[in-house]
Amino acid sequence: MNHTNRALNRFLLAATGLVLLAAGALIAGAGLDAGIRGRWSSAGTSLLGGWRNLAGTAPLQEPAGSWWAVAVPAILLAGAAACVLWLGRQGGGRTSEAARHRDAELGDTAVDISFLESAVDAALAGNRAVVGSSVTAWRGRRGTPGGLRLTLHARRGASPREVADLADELIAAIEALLGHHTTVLVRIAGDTRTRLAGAHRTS
Amino acid sequence: MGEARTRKKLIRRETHSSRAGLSIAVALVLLAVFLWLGTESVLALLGLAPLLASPWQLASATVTASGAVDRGELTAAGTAAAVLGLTLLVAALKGGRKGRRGIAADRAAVVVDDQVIAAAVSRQVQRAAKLAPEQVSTTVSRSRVQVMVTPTSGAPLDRDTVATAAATEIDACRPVRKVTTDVRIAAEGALGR
Repeated sequence: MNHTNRALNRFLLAATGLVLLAAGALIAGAGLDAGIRGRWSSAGTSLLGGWRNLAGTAPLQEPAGSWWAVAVPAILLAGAAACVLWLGRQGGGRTSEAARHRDAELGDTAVDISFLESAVDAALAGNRAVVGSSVTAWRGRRGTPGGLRLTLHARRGASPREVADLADELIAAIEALLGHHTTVLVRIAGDTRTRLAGAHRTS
Repeated sequence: MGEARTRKKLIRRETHSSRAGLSIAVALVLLAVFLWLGTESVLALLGLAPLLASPWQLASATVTASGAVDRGELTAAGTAAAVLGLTLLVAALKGGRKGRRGIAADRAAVVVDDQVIAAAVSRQVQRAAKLAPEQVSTTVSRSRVQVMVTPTSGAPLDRDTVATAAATEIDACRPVRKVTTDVRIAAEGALGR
């Protein structure tokens, strides 16, 4: 599981959508109705006038002339920074470390994900229901534990229950290897790899 | 129980879109707009020539736009912006379910692609009713599994056999959310082989 902040995504998309919707409705309304056009230009003109008067309330030496004139680029750059932060909140949290055992005397022992990946590959060799597999790990965050994500590509027509039971067996083996309980997410996928592998043969 | 909650959360995240793609697109567009306007305002502050238009020019153009721009264009532009805004709003509020679902398992949160379930159902039906693979097609939607069967011409097809085969496979999956099964048998038969 990656660390994308989904609530934030939806909130910011909704906020952007609302602003666009309102602006669009106003512009379309101005195109259709003379009253809105009139109010638009009168409100706009008074806003521009208000801005001119505002400049005198917080004077600053040239070339800026006013603190308000400095505030505009500051706000815009803050907006740009917020966008960068938003972009930074997408994804993340993947790690190549499947597990770590801490020992003050002997030092830390880390299990690399590639070890589990090849172990799963070996366990699945010759299996009819599964054509491919991958293992990834994600780091824990704010008290929630990290975990493993096991993706099994099912052969076309393979029973999901059969694959799920197989996954349970694999996880039992992984837990035995690591020596402790792990949170695991299993995805049973069917995609191009499955299609290329062809269907089950029945006689 | 913590384990059950964690699993529920994992299944929820795996079966629903994070809206990351759309968020990245919107954030990039907003970033470009903010950077451009920021640059223009800094250039105006320093008394340098604008890249495209100074903030003051932009502001006065916006104020006069309602009178200066053709009304049809104004309406069209406004409608386009409103539709785009509505699209974002819908994307933000809708579930964004992916074609996957959680199924019960002992040791892990397990999510299966709907197409895997559909293929498995098709295969069971095909075996039970002794049909060719292309005579059975299955569609799995949110809470319904629809099996379409084209019978072999001249060979009677037992609806119950089909329904039982489909239901058995789905029950075996133990989906978290109950699904109903719907069997449709085409009126026209296919040539047997």
